[in-house]
Amino acid sequence: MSSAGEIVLRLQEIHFAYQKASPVFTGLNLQVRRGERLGIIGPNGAGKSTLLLLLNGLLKPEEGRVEVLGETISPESEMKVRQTVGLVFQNPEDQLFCPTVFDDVAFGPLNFGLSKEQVTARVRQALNEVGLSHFEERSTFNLSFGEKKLVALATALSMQPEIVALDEPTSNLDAIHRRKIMRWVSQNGRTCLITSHDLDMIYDTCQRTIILNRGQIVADGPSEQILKNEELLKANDLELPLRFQPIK
Amino acid sequence: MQLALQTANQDCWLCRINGLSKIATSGLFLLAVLFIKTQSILQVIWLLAWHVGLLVFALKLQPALKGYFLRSAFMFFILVLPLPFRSLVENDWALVQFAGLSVFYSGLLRFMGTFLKAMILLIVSLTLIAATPFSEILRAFKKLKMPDWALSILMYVFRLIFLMEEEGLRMKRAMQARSGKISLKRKLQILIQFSVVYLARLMGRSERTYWAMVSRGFRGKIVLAQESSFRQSDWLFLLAPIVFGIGVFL
Repeated sequence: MSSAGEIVLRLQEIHFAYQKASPVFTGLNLQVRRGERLGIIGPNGAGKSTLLLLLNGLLKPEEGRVEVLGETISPESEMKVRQTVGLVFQNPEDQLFCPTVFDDVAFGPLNFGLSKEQVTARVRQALNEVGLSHFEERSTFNLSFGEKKLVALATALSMQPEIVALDEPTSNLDAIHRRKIMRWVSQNGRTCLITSHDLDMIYDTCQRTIILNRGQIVADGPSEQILKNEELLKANDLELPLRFQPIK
Repeated sequence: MQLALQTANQDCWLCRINGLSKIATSGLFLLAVLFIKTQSILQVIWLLAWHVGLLVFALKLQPALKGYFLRSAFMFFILVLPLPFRSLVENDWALVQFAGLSVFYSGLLRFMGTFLKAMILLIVSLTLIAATPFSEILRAFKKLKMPDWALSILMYVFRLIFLMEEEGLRMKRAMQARSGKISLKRKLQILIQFSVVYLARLMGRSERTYWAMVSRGFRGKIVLAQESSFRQSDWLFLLAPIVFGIGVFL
């Protein structure tokens, strides 16, 4: 586990359930350091997406604390937290709701009260970062799925978050857009939390990986170590990344 | 909706007119048309021709958009069809009589007036939607001091229409892929199931979209960027309904 940098995210004894009978988290603990790229893997229904929603304050834990940059998420700190943790949803269709790309990318900065000039600069910078600098006036409804994913990422980047939480960033993407997302994750320098079933992508981009299963973190360590451990992966309904699997 | 989106992004003089000017113009036209006496409506048939001209020549009307208009017009025609068969004034005379039914002069006038009014309303709305990007419409409403809650709903409904269209198509395809020639009873059963699942899916997607808004600092207040200024051409465009309105009231 990387020890460089201060702790920017801390989850302490988190208990959460959508329905009382089937809790998602039962005493989850997690710490993430500045600049770390953390891969979160686990079987379907393990709570990966729920974890990201908790980090942004969209869901509230029943017990326990979520701290972002040393501040506990509360109604008073929510706005600051949302500016600090940029959340990119699994399905870009859920994230894009404005008529044009510009409006969608500008939505966050405008809500945080920035001036029009600052907003325009932020939109251009964010679109530039994802390689869509000429997409400002395009309609969000007429983009390809890959382009929508990149615009969805830009909508989070325009808030200049310190931490970016990406939910299944490469799902359903073609090879070129998958590569673009992976390149961005590897090169952007921010703290990133990535949930995914694409273990090859996690292996290539994240220094550290955790396995979530049955409401707990069952493994936490360097990606190299976790993603090569076939027994551990099998025990958690996962498989080795494709590159380590012999062709049968 | 998809069509209206594409048309609104066309590069034509009508699309370049300020959204506020277009909304005000449409609003004034609609108001004036609503105030015109039904019997006098035939005198403003040129207004219908003007808007048809705008749609066809300025917007290079796409066949599917024309289809929407013709379908709506036909449905309204069916709706007002009984009007000529009712006499609205005393001492009215029947123009035609057949199979025990009479077509009355006053009824026919009312039928033509109502139909024409509806067509003008329809075509003015269609021209506005086809020539104005939705973001411009939102900005114009914001300038017209529309409350934030109403703007939020409008924005959300706009997104919801696309969601509904997509979800509906996806489910329809999934249903068709697994059904052949089936009885009416089975069809009805499927329709009920379809509607329930459709609603549940829409609610799920709407909730996620709402989360996406909240995660980017949305607190019920819509803030919009890129406000465009009013130019000379926008004022000129606005002048047309004002002149028309004065004509109607005088």
